[in-house]
Amino acid sequence: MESLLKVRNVSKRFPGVLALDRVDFDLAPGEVHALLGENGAGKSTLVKIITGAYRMDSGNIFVAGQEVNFHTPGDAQRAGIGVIYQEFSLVPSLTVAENLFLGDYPTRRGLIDWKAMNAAAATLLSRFGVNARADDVLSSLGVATRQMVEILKVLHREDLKILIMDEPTSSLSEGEAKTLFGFIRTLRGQGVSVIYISHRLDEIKQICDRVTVFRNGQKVSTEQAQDLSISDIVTKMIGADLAEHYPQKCTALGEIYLNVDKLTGPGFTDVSFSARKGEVLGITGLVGAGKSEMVETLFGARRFESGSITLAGQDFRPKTPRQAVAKGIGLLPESRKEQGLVLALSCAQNVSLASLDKISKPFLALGAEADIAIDSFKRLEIRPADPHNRVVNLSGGNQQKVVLAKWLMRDCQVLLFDEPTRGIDVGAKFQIYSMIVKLAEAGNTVIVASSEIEEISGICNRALVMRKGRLVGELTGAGLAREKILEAIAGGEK
Amino acid sequence: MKLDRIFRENRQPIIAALSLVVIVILLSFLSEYFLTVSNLFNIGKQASINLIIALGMTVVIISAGIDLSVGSLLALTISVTAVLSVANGINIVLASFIGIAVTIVAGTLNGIIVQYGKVPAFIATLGTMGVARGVVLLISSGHPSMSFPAGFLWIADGTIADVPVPILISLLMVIATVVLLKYTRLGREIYAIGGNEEAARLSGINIPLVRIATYSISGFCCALGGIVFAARVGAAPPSAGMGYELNAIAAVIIGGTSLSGGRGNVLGTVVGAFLMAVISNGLNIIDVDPYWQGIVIGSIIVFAVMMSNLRSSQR
Repeated sequence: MESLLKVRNVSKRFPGVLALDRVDFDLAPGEVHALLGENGAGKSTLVKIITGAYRMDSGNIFVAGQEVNFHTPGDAQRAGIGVIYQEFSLVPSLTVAENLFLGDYPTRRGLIDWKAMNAAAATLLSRFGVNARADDVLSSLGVATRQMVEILKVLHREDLKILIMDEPTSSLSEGEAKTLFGFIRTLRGQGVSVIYISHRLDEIKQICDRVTVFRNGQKVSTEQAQDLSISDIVTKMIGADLAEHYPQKCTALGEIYLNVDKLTGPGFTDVSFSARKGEVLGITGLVGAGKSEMVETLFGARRFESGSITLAGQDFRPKTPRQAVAKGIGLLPESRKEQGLVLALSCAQNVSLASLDKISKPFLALGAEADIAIDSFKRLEIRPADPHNRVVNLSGGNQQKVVLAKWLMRDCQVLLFDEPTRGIDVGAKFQIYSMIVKLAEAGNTVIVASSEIEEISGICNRALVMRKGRLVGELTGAGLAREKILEAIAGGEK
Repeated sequence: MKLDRIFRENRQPIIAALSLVVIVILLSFLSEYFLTVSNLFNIGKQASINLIIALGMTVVIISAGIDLSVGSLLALTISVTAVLSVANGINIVLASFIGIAVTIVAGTLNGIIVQYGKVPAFIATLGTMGVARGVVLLISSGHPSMSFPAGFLWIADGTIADVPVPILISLLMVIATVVLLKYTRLGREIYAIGGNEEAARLSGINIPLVRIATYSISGFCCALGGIVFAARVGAAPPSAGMGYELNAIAAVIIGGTSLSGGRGNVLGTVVGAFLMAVISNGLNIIDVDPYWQGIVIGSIIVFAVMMSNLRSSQR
């Protein structure tokens, strides 16, 4: 079959790096095609060239057999190429219909024709089976639904032929992701081709027809998704066989260090558990189950209403994160850009952010600060290992490692991880896993809140399952198999 | 590589500094008097009050705040000092210290309102701008003409080793602010809360303390500017400092400090303040209608920010 999109021999060079090296890529009509690779492999660059955000240095691109050369994103849109980014471009305070038609409202005699607009929106929503009303205010909807609205917004303009989705499920729970997949299948049924970028490899087999893997700016291969196993894909992405992805779990557990008794607060009710020294304790559940609220409360970023926390045998009631940090607790928050990093500061300045007392004598020892940063960059393989580089210039995985380095410098006894590997590449993921296990081995208490079943299964000694703010199960040993976790999470909801 | 980064991350202060150099060269051709020691000292003295206030403003703006009350706070120092010393016969040195202390308290109040009252800085300081001005008018009413003793005027007219005192005071303040922002924990925390308050909070930084400190520092700078102003004018006009907040903000912006917080530096502010003073002095010397000053400085603010933004959105 003739390809809808044909990329031939495309190269793009940035100062100091060949981001794309004579790449070919084909997208068939009505297929969902996964584009995979570690951060920096070249997939985003290719997408930006296809959508007109970057200009290629050499090569040819054909859409439906016609050679094209996009100068602006507008050119690509007019050719029927739409893109959905991770960050939403919707206005939360407007209704679904207003968002869908933002910027080109239907008008009658110069005024907005609300009736026509709401009717058109309703038709669009029902055609694609999206569970929302045209006059729902966007902020009242769930993340998955908002994402579908975002897609519809792109979709209804012109006649969309190609849709590019960059990490569409990174903020969705499993259930929401399933809904989104159903939606993607509807799109495909209506003849739209989808380029699908994701770090969640288990999704790829569920939703994609073909898989193209990039590494270091080159295409490694394109294959049928059904012919590949996840470990095949990982091997292609990182170029080496990582049969033993997950580090050996630490088994020598120490005494109980953190005890939570009947804790109730906004987002969770009557939660009791304890965690030992040397233990990696998972907290899993769907998005909205109360995992983040739980760890943020332990860190003093939220107040609890009743119950108690005991830390190292002493009653602990943190009112601010500052008090928690003083007691040796660290938190890698859910969203690294909004909560973890100060993007305007350098890498070294971010590393020292929680430990300024250690380098303030009383003037900041800037040399020592840089040395400590360089040291942690080596331990965590952060690249580039330049302490003065602004952290905003790093890839997602390296940024997350900088957040981790911040807490390593603090020298915490309790480390709380909230979705530690969301949206980061496979290589960085495993480096973070191995650091989590090393921290536990050193006698620290580690709590990992995650909705990624794979990592709960891979690194935790024990996992708590939360549903709607309550603790509904505890898994150990064989119970940490992926199916068991999935079962426990989804529990009663099926 | 390192030099490259310095240029990339300080584009706007560098553009401002280059403009300053170009203007200085231009003016030195237009008037032979311009590039004389006495005129340069003149410019330094002219720049000093705005510069001192702008240093405090830089600190506040880096923390993602703004302080519109600086002009009124400057007047507050002057009138408190004047009322105490001239009208009530308190020793001028003691009176000055009380004036400075009162102003620092007023600045601190700004910070408390912003932090604990959860009032946006723009609104909170707009309010205190009006309140402080009202207090100034109240306490100086009934004292139509208060003039300071001759010894006090030394702060504006005197020299140490031939260098005018206002220039020395602003130099000391520049050094102190550089040290504060670059080499102290508080300074780093100011950048952190300006860049991302939530990340700073989740790193255990004491947000209330840092935020309030920025406004106290700004209050202190206003107080110092007020003392220099009082010594220069020799009296306590209740209208002192009107419109100074805009000059200070202009110097900070020309110097490349981002109004959204987290980025900026003191040297940029120094360049900004001098650029404004040189233009106003230069236009005076070459005998241009002073009404042109506002037009030129306004255009430069827009132009400087435009240049820097145009370049940074290029691929």
